[in-house]
Amino acid sequence: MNYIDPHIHMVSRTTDDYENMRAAGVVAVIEPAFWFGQARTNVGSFKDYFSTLVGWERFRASQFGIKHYCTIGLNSKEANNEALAEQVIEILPEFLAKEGVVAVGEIGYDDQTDAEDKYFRQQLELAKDFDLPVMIHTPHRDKKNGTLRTMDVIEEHGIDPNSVVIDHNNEETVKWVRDRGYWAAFTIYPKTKMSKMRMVDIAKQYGSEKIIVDSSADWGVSDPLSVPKTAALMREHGIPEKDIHLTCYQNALTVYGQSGQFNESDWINETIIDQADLLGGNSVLRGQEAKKISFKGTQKED
Amino acid sequence: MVSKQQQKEFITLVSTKLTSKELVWVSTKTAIVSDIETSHKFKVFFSLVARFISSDNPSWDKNETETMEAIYPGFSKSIWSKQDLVRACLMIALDPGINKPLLLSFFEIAEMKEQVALYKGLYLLENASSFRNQVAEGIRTNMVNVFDAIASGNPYPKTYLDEDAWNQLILKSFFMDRKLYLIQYVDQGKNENLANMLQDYVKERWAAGRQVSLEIWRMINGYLREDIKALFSKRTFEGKENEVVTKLLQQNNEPIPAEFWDGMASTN
Repeated sequence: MNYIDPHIHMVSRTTDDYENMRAAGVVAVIEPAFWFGQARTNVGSFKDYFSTLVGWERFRASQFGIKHYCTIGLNSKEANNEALAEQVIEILPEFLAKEGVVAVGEIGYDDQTDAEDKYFRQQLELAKDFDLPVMIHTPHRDKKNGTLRTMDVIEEHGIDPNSVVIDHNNEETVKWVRDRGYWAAFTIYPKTKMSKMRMVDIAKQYGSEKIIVDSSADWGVSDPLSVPKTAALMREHGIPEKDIHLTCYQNALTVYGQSGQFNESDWINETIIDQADLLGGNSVLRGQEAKKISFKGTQKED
Repeated sequence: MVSKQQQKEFITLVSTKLTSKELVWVSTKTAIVSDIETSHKFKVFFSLVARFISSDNPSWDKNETETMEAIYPGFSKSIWSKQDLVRACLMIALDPGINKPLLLSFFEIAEMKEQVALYKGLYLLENASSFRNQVAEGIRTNMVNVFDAIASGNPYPKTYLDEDAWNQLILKSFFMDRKLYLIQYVDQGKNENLANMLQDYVKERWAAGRQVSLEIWRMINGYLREDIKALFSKRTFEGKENEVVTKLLQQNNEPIPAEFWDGMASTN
């Protein structure tokens, strides 16, 4: 079965992760622009980071048979450095126009400061200008109010909830998010936030409509195989295949596909990636034997 | 150097490959970027090509191929998508008086396919020679498709790069396992420094029990050293490698024709 991980920070992951993900059925990933683990101090760092997302990381993923897409945005933590944020906002349009950029994101609130609010709103306007979906990061602290406020602001800017994914949901927020017409994503972490078993229970209770599973794997303790592992646990607990397909593949494709930049045809046609032919000993291979990867996703099962 | 007249011919021929809707988009955008006042919009338009122009690879009849080869020697050795072609038209539309800073800053933020189109398009600019440093920098990339945009069927490197940068291109081609015969003007680029570096590389590889690309001898032919000949006598060769080594020794540094190398490499 094919899976999509629609939220994963691959710049922090190893080539072993790429190999394991592909072996587990992950055919495409979306890498949202986010915080680095420490604050950047100048706009050049953002420029190079965004360039990496559309350049080297995209190439690196391709060498393991995985299609790499990204979202571009100024994250809420770093929105608090206003002098820098102003400059970052200036360069965003140049990246939002690029191929394979499937949304503005991840944006939203962290501490819910005035500065966060200001740049969140500016970026919602950019999403309208570029006709792109929005990926929302909801705060870990004061989650309930932060999530409700996020939705109020999105609606105030006249954005259709059907083009917005609200991420990092829990059992409580999912109700409001879906009732108001948004896509509800769940980040499955090995320890904190949402566990695989809690996700199975949510799928049992809510079904699959507008529900999306992701790993948000990054530089912290996290699991790049969260999506296929959660799917396996769902299967074990009798969740219908149709619902697994929707939550672990199709829903992400539907919502981010609205960008026109995220198409199943990108990965269902057979591609042979010959690492030797492409790379020699000079790039992602360091002296190990080059592999021929036969890479073909399967058509929709239902 | 590509003349204004040739640029026009290029644009005219590209236009015949576009749908009427695409053509309207391109005409509108090239008009905007050709005005210095609004040329800064080039960056976003160059990216938006991905949304408004199909990624198909047009086919060219014999006459069209000849025209393109006359403008851009090597054109038919690499694939040009409609997006690449339109992006080249946008580059041509920029005023040569201001295109350098604009393009150099765009190189810094270009995604993979954009970098490919940029490197392919530079040769078509009136002031192509102003971008030598950028192309020399491009050779350092590890993204294979970007490297190929510079190396395969692109007349820029041999026309504009100095010998050191050109030699790096050839060396890196071998490190990245690229096809040498697709490099435009490859035989005109033979030189003793390069041949010496390549012969040292052969020794290093053989000492490590590894093989070298047979195309490497194309650049060494004419400068074959005695120490390498001595190594030949200690090794046994089979098949194509044997054929190449025998030929090298027979010719004794007289040039072996391009057809021999092209035929050997394209059937490899």
